[in-house]
Amino acid sequence: MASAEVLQRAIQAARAGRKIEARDLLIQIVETDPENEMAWVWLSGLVDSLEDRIIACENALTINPANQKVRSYLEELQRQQQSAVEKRNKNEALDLLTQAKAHADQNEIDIALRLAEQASERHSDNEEVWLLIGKLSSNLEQQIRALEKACQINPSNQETVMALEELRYLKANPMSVAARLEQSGKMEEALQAYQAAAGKAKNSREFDHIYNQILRIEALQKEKIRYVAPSLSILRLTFVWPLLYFSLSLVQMGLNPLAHPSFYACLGLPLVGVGSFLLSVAEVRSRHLVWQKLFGEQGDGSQFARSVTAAAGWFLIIIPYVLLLLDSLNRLQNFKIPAMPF
Amino acid sequence: MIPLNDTEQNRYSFFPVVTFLLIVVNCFIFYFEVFVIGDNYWPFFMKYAVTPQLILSAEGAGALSNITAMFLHGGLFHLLGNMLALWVFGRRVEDACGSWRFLAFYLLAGTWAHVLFVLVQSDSRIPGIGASGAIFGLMGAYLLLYPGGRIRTLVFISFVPLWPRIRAIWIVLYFVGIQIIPAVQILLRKADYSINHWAHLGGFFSSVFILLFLRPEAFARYLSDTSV
Repeated sequence: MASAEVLQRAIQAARAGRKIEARDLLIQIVETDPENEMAWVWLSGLVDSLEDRIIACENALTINPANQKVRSYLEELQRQQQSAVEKRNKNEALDLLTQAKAHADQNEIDIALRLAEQASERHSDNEEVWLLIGKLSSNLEQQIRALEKACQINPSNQETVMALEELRYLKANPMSVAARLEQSGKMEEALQAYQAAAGKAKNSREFDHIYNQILRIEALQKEKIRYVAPSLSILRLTFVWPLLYFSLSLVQMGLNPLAHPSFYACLGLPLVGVGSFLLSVAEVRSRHLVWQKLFGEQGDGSQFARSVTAAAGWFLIIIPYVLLLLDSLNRLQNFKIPAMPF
Repeated sequence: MIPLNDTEQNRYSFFPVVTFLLIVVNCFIFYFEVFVIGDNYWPFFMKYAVTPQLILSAEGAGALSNITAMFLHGGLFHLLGNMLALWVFGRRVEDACGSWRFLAFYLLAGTWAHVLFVLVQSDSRIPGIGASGAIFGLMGAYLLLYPGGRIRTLVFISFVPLWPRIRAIWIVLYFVGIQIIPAVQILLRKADYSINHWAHLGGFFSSVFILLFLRPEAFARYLSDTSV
């Protein structure tokens, strides 16, 4: 049977809705006559899978590149294929992200990071994946890249923008990286960071400073000194001046605040508390909201920020103490000295 | 038994500035008491010493007299004894706290020494003076921070002077121990002593607050059961 006749039969079968019969006939034609453009065109509409349709269209276009109808159909099919691949990758990425989070929760950081990286390869437009990489990675460069991607995807996420700024600050200040690790109790990593910073020291003075930090951490490790969180130190030191003020106020009020209430004593305690807190924040090296909110700084507080905070702290502490002193002097002026009892 | 010196070195600072200044100020005020106030001491003490009745009735200088009383002394030996103990026990406590917090702790210990004195001897009209309440606070703090510390101490055995290095715990226990019987007698029998035993005990017990005053490094070392 001539291929033209078979082609006619196949077209009739296709139009009659007998797809399988039509497809079998068309396959028969292209096997014997691979240059039959019409057979490929009809076949592209009858095969089941997207890939086979694309192959049929491509073959038809190879025979006749000027066939615009087939070309636009092929483009549509390729879009569909792309979309299907993206959907599949997206689903796989979500699965990997879920697994990564589960491992991260179990503190299996390396596995979690690897899964998150795989998820980012599958679907690079998932903000959550990049945030997770930024959180899990201990490599500063990788953290910055991850947060840059996250910011590209969602520029309105201020938290990410601030975290990225902070990481860039750390990159520009290698000593801060080490200090930050030390503050979070990761002494071994802090030591490595100090050693890395020593390698980049600009002059011998800076090198000596870093070297002293290394010696200090090694001594702490040797003596097995426990890690104390900066927040605990700030909390502890915040009690110092209010405790003294409270004790002095108690004496001022005759050890009985109800019988001898003192305006200055009651007003002063919160002021001394705030002042003592600022003083503690200025003393304890740590990343703190005070630096971000009041000075717009990312690190542990610059020398200027620390000095200003300490000065504000002292000011708030001293004022109530001075008021208490003035109250005492005022009472002393009105005091009638009793006679000697002996 | 006279403690002379703590032979251990400072860890954090070179020189105990506040301890030294406290000694200087105490000596200066004693000079003022002796050569300026002289025999007219009663009004001066009424104003600047801690008198339980006045404190409880919120008369007089209140908080100010609580502070000034810590710098007044009744005699040369009173002053020398206190200043020697301040140097022996204060130097390393200041080193562990830092100067400003050490000053705050010293004043706090002195204040709580006075609080206990006022509470126990509430009807007394005799003014209380001396740095010993604050110094007992330093002794307690020293014991907490340096339990293995040794103090060069002058002792006389059959009039023969010896100066061994004695564990601080024995010295502190000795000084605290000799307060207890008189303190109980004051409490139960209203016994009259020229030494303010309850203020000593008040200062000593206030030493538990020392942990709030330590430098962050010193606190970490304290928690690590290593030498502060």
